[in-house]
Amino acid sequence: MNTCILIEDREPRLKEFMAQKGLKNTSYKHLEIVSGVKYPKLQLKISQSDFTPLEPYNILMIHRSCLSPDGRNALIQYVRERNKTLVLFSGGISSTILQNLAPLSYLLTINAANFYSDNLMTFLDNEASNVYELAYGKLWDINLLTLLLDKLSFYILEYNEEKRFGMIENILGLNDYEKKYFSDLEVCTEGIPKAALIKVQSHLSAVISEKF
Amino acid sequence: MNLFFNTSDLSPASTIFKDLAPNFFTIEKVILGYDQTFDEAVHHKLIGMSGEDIQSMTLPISLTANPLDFTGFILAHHVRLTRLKNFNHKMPIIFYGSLDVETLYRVNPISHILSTPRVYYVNIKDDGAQKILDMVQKKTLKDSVETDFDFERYLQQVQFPRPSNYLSRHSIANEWAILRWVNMFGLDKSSILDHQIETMLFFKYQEAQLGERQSFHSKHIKESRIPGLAHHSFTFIDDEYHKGWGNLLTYILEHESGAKLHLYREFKKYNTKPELTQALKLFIDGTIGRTDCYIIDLRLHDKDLGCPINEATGYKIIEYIKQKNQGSQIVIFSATNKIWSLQEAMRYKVSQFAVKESPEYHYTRDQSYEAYVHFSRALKAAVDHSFLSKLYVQIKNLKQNAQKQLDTLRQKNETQLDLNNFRRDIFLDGGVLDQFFELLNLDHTNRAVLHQCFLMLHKIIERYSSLPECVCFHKKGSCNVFGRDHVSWLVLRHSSDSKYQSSMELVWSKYPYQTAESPKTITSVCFSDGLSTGSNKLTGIDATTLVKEIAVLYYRCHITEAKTIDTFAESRYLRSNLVAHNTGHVNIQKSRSNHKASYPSSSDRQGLAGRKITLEDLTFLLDLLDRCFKPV
Repeated sequence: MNTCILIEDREPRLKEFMAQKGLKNTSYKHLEIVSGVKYPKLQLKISQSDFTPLEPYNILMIHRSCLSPDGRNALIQYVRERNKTLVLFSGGISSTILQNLAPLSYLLTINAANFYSDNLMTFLDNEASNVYELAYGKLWDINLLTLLLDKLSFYILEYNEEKRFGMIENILGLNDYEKKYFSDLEVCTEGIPKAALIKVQSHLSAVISEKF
Repeated sequence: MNLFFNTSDLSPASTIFKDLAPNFFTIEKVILGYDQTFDEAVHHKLIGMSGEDIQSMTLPISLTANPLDFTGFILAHHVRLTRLKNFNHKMPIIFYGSLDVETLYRVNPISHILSTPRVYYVNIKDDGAQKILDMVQKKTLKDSVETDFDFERYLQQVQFPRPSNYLSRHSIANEWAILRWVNMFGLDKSSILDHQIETMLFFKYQEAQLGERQSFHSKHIKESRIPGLAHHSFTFIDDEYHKGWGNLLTYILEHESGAKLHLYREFKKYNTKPELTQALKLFIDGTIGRTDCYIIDLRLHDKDLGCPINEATGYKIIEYIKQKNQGSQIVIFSATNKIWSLQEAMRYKVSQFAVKESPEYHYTRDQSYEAYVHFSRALKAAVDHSFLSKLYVQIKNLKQNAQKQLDTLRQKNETQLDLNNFRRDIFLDGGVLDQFFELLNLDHTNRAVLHQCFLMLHKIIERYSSLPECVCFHKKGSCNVFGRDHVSWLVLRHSSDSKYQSSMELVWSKYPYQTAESPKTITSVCFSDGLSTGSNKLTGIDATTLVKEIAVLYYRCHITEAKTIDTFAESRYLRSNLVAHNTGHVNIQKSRSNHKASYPSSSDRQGLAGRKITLEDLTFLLDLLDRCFKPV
């Protein structure tokens, strides 16, 4: 389970969301909410690049405007070094962007309205373990599948010879979630023919269409 | 040049296209800084591309490793909506991806760009890379370039949801209006705006809807200086000051107009509404007497959104300012143009209201300029009324001083009826002085108001000069004027047996503005040891009150400058004319043609035109009263 901290200076927005969702400060053991009277003290520290109060948390969710540009850059550096995930939400952000800071470290910039949504509740319900859920909600797996479909399609475009599954797995960079769509091919000891890959491609495409 | 955008996670794409057509594509990438919004990154990318001869752009639906970011679509919208010199915003755009178009339409409305002119989609799953090349290289693009680009159709087909911090018109109007004014004045945006809102897709879309014809170009630049504000001080209270209003108003008021601007900078989003209100009240306390005009937004706290307008923090602050000083000048500067907001403003006796431009109303260039003209007029009017604030303080002090003096007199004299009535009628709350202020506050430019106020002040001096505690006329014409210490007294008539004696010589002549048939009047008084004669023999002139008043001013209140006494004599003459006493005639033909009062011009003073009652006449009398009651 990931531990999270939510830092919000605009308390009315947070309170409205909490009221809507029936969320209390104590609802999640792995969530610490810092707002209202608790906020200024913490803000002062992190604005001076003293991130020690953030040490216990894996996921840092902060209103982007709480920090100056320099402060944000310092925080991003801190997050990257410690393999944490940073979520910067703001009303002024118009698109959701999820970036890798390091192999196990993410930066999610997200509009405040999209952040304070069911996605956040689902994310917290699921032990804050999947940042894709926070970014894309119910479509999080579609995002991964679409990426996989893109990669597979390009692979098929430049297909020139049969390769064993292990090589294809490396080329496509398949993770455990993605590998399950290749379960029929995993067991193949021979090279994978193009037709078999096209079959997987069609299946993926159908799954995506169905989920949308 | 044909651009090809790729994502790092899809490196095979560029390899494929390079293999298919070596040297055809120029490979591009949007580099997204970690502390940069995607809009900012794209905007700067396009700036870097301006001036290049770009024939087409080929890109995936997302430039990041997450297809559902749809950053490719966002980039394409930027291409269409960004206006840069030598930048081909009409270029053909080819998307590639592995999802069906129908699926994309369902997922996100931003994908509707696919149905707009000169945009093509290649499903690499079905069509392959060759189709992209065909499209770019051959007939389709050629045809599309040769036909007119239907930008209106593009605008009709697409839609952009507002970012959540612009869900209220209030918040978007702030940045929109700043941007419009910054463009109108030809200012450097980076020196005014706190962040690059012109990079935001949503703003570009709003601007595009407004139409190219209503944008500000160099030939449309307007002057921002507001004449008549120099040396005046303003206080600006707006929770969105940091977005650019603070910088813009500092530029307009301080840099261009020579005024001084105080900003309230201590807005903390974590403050509750009562905390903010309290902090603002403390700030206001420090500005009282130091500011000529407050410029105030109504919604200053997040909780003001959606609450009844009379509960808005701005109105709480206005109420407080008016409690402190009813003459304080306030300009409400808000995005709201609701009639009930204006009604509430009138309830607080705020007469100046300027509306921040909002994109929904699609202001034309002229309307944007009109909004600014209205704003500048509101500030100018506030400055013109700012004397009321000082007047309010002066009256407040005068009331206190007068009550002290009259209380002292009351303690020493048993015949108090006149004194008590005078005290009550004039100086208590709701008395003549309060009415005088109320009338001026209502409309100090109205001639009837000025006349009424002028008579009110004369009435006060008249009643003061008639108090037995101040002056006493005897049957033989002698007059005792009691000094402020209530011990010494002076006799105006020559009296050989009087220990204290003095005299006044009344100088009779005519003011330049008197008509030929108008008789001479008392225009000056000389104080000497000798006694003038024959004054009351002149027909129609009753000098008794004037003599009494001047005697009180001179001997009791020690107002001894000849110029002041002469000015008072003239004021008294004007007062007599106003109440239609048969004391002379004034040529007021010209003044009657102009209903509004104004200061007399030099030609007026030379007697070429009528003599009008002005604010100067009122402040002169009020200053006299000040001196009458000022503690010794």
